Amino acid sequence: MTVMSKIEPPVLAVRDLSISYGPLQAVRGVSFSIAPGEAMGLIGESGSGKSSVAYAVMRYIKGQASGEVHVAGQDVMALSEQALGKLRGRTAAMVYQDPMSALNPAIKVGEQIAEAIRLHGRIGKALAWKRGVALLERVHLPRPAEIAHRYPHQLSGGQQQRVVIAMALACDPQLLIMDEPTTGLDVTTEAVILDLVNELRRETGVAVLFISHNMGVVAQVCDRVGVLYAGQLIEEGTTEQVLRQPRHPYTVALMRAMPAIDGPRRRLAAIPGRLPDLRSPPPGCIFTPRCAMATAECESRMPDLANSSGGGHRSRCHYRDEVALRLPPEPLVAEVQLVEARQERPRLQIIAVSKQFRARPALPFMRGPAPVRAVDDVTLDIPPGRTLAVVGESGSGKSTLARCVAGLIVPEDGAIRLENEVLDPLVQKRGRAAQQAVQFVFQNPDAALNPHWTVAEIVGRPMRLYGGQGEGKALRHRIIEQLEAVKLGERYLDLYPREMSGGEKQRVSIARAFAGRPRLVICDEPTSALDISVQAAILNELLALQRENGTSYLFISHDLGVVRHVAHEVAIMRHGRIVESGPPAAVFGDPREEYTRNLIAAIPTLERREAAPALLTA
Amino acid sequence: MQALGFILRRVLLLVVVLFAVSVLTFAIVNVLPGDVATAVLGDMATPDQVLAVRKTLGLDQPLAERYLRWLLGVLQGDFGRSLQHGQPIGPILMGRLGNSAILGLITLAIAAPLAVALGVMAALKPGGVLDRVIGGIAVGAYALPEYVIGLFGILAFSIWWPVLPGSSLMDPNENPLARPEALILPIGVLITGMLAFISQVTRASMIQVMGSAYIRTAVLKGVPRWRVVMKHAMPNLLPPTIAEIGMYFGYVIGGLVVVETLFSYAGLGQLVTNAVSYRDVPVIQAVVLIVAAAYGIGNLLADVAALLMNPRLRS
Amino acid sequence: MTLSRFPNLILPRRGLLGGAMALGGAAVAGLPTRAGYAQSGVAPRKGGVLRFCRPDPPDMLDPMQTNSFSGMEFGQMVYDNLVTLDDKAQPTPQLATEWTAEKGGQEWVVTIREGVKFHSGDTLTSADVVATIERSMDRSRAGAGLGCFGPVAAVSAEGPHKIRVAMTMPFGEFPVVLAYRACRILPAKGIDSLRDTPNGTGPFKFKDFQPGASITMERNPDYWNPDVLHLDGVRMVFIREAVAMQAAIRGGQVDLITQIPLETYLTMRNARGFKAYSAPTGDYHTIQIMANMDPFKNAKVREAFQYIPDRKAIVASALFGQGVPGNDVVLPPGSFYLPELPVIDQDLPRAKKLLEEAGVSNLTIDAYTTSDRQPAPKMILAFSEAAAKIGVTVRVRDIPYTEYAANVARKMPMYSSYFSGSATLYDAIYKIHHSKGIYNYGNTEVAPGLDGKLDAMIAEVDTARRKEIAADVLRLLQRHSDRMVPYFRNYVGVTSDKVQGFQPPKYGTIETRGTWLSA
Repeated sequence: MTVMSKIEPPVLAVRDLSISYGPLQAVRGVSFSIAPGEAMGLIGESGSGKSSVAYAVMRYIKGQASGEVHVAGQDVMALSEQALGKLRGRTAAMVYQDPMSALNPAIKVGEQIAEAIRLHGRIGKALAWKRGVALLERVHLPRPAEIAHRYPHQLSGGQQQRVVIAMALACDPQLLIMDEPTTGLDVTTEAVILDLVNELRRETGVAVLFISHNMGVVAQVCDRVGVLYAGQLIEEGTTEQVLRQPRHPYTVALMRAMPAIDGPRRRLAAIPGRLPDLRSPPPGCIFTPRCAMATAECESRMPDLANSSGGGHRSRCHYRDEVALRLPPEPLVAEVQLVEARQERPRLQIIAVSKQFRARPALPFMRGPAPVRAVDDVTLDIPPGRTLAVVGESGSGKSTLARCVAGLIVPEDGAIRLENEVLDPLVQKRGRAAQQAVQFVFQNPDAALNPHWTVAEIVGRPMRLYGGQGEGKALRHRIIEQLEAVKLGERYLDLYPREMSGGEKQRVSIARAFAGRPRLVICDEPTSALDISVQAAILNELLALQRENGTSYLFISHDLGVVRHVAHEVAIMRHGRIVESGPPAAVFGDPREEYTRNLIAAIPTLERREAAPALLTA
Repeated sequence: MQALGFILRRVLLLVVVLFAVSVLTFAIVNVLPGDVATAVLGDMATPDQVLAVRKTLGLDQPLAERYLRWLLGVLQGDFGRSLQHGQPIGPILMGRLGNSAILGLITLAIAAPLAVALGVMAALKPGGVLDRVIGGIAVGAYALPEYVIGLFGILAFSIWWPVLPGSSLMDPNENPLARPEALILPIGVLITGMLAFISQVTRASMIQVMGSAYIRTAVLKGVPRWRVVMKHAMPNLLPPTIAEIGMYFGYVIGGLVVVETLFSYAGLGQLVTNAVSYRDVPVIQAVVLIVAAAYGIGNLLADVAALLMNPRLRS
Repeated sequence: MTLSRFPNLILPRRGLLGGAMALGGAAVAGLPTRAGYAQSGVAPRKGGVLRFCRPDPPDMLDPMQTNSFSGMEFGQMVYDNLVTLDDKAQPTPQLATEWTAEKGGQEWVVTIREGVKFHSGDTLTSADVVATIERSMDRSRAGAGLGCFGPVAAVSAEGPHKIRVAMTMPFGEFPVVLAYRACRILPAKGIDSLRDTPNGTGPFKFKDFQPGASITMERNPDYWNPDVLHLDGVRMVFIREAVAMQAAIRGGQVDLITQIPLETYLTMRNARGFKAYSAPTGDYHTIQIMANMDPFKNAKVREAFQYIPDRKAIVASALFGQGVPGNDVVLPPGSFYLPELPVIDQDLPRAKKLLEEAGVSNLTIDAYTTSDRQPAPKMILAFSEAAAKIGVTVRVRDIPYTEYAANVARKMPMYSSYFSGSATLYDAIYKIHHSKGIYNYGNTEVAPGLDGKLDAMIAEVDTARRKEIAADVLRLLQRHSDRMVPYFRNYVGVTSDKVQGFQPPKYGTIETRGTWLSA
């Protein structure tokens, strides 16, 4: 492959691409190329500019772009609108994140595929439709002729993404640009889509530009990987090179921030600080302020993206060959013995809780769909100071369960018991003490924080409400203490939520949850909207707070890696029922249920999976 | 089929609503100070005269009894007699209903597509010259009540620059289509009011649609711009817009009352303003009932159209 | 009545209809010929439909029961009266050819014209007239026309063309009353179904009524007096909005607009191609100060109130000069019966003193009015402002007419009211001020002995003597009345230049007899 790429002209050649949105320099001097049949991954966190690069290839940019982009020899930046229309969809095609919104809800999926064929192939309606059906079959959709007549909302997420892929393949493009194609999909669905991409690559020889924040996913598909940070390509090499022996401290940190499902459990590495201000990027290495091994040179001189010793592996770090030496691995985490905790009375008991949902009809007076058993006779308990993680795919009922415990949803059946007290099913009817004892951290801090309150007001409110923490100066002191516990300082007191990053907002949420000194905190996907490096920091802080306060967690997540990292006990949930539960070592190391096994097998790790796991019918 | 059940339930609901509306109107009109007797006889009437008229018109009967008698009549298709004119209401209504329908439907037929087209054009380049012009006019037209727009229209086009009749002046049984020039001003006023609102609503939805991921998909598929607008954006724009227009039906009817009175157009609106000032309860009842039914049916039709155009709701 | 007494009188800008012509009066022959309806010189053109526009449709088509000018105007076209009035408000024959008083006015004998046919084809006989008068006496059938023929005790036919009317008291004005707008002669057959099937002897036949929209009438080819009938028909249309009305006449969709706001008159009076009319009438607004209610039971308070308004200023501001100040008597300046009276002007110190004498201080009162009867609210407002200067708080309560008619008239101590001019003392004074008169809202005898004087005035057959008694009554009323008359308003209306022979109505309703359309 590498040999070929040197001979054949590349399908995609990006040279010195820079993109700015007003004063914001989102992408700076990015160059890379993709050979025919090759798959290149671009990894980066939010704000890295990876999507901007992807869309620039199609010349779909809202900002100002400079540099060169050549697709199959054509200079994309110089094309006429008409020629660009011919390039889009025919020479290069795209697959998007969130297929549900990428597909037109008002057009049959068959037509959406056939339209592309007609536009570029100038063939008749019937023939285009037939080809569309063939493409649907090509992406392994069952009964393709029938599915072609469906609308997007009638398909599952995995099916939708296969339709999007079929649409992208409609005109046999030379380049496929995939922008986070599996983000938001369940892990089992993700595995199927990744297998499909690999199969299509093998059989059609299409080149792929693969954008993702997930190293595991990239490892499954790509031959080569580039890492973007703050608009710059900071490392590039083969997948093996970049993910196994990273030569840039950022990549190293990223890898160490990723909670793994296997291997020894290490402390997660949080990357301190935040992205530099891209309106005025520093002159030296852009990672300097957050780098653990930065020197004075790093601050003054920007390193080149240059080859390191291991051939074809380029890194934008002055110390590219010493990275491994200078950054020792994170310490191992001691496995806690749950047995002794088991002896005590559980902090929380969930006893035979059931909840049905009757979905609201689309229009008033239309008949609604049949009710769904969201939570079906679930019994669980959490010891003091321990974490129970409930894991499941979307629709498994895990969030509903969390809301039942919180008293936001009233279950039809069952009871929630906090230590000695049976809690009222509705939070408003619970006593102040019970309200104080159970707090919630939500997935989306934006929705959970009052945008008109300052941090001091947000964190101070539960303190005042539940009392006993002083007034005036004393209260202010307590608030600062609480903020420091989540690594935020006094300077955040008077900020409003809109003035903070996602990670900072989630920290405020956590500070608020702990402000009332709760006995149980329910964490509903607390990190799934955050970047990996931020996630690591948040998880670390949650663990630290638990150690300090002896708080119990009910931790809801779809991410088995995260769960393995934080949980003392895991419950796998599916269709409202608990499929399997036990300590993580047991559940992940030796799963009893086939569903659990499949779930674990589907997780994209750095190891490339060879064949599709059985069962997965996403 | 689900849609059929939906329509059936909605029709049933409409009947219930109409019943409630009739009870309410009856109650409200009877709570207003003065009745047809004092209205007809005026301030010079002696109490004796008022009593005598009340008696002849049956106004001395208890309220509930009068309502029940009216309801029984309506169920048999008899709306009763106008207290003011002493004539059966059915025939009075028929011609006027047709006239109002002509005015309203022509307005809808012109204003709805025009407003949608303007909204779409404005949305294609938000902040552009066209958008600002359309937006400016819309805000102005929306801020002014029809009454003012109508007066201005009369002043401008039939007094200062007399090219159009300032008054439609017609009989209820006259076909308004026979004199199209008399329709121009009233329809113009109604359209102006409607354009303002719907074009801006359409613009907002269109901007949203054009910013959506599936439009990006279409563009990056190489679909030409006009086709993106017509084939990809419109099918998603129209259902909510049509539902919006359906909601707007009440406004059109309200506008009809004003415009018909202003232009002496013999429609239901003109009839009902008269009937209200004379406390002609049966006429008010009948017109309100018809208007409520028209509003309900218009809304229902819009919802059904939106339903049929939206694959998500159709199945 | 002479022009000099009406400095504000506006006459048509052009056209032959001169004020002198109209007001000076022509000799009255036995028959009301064209001359009776004015116009001379050019021979009237026959044909054309007069499109007659007014704001409100009739409340009903029964000419006796109707309470609206709209209905009365309709009645005047489709029906005839027994007599009509000349320019001196003296009776001239219409359906009656002769009338004589017997027993000193206690009884009247009226001879009915022969050969007159109703539109239904039936011939007019004394039975029809008897039926008409009897209906006017029947509380349940007369409607607004109750008692319109005066204090009638009984009526009987004396042969097919003569009737005898016995009065409850001597009644000298009987022949004048016969011209009253409620006194149209109705057919005995179907007399109570005229609401639905109008049937008169008048110059125009009813053809079609579109409730709320229009009335169509066509020429009665068999009209007994073809000399005054020039039009092929009349179409009454109703336009509520003054601007729309103006647009209609300017656009040539109507020929005549009447009962228009003063503003319309003022903007149209210089418009090319139109004739604008402003002429004095007996129409007036009152401020009722009810003598049967506090604080006006005290005559001194009523007197004090008389000195509060500045009548000339009100004429200028509320009527834009299209009217004349009133002197708190119900007859307009220039009326035949009007004696020399002291002029009541604004005199606030005097008003204040009178109130002090009455022992009233810090008076606060609600004055009701309705914007549906313009410009009454402006007048009440002006009164309120003047009253404030002497510490009397008059709160202006402007309410819709329907509510006003139901809850205010006769029920509140202070409110504005509207009266149209009448040709007879019976209508203009007796009905309003006799304690048993139907328009004496308070049923009070405001001055001792007034009822007796009123009875005597009505009974008097001799005009000169009647005038003397009337003068006495009016003096009494000016001092004690329970209503103020701040102004008399002009009639205002506009026609297109084509409309000829139009006369501003003196007593409310427009006469179409004698009107014609030029080519």
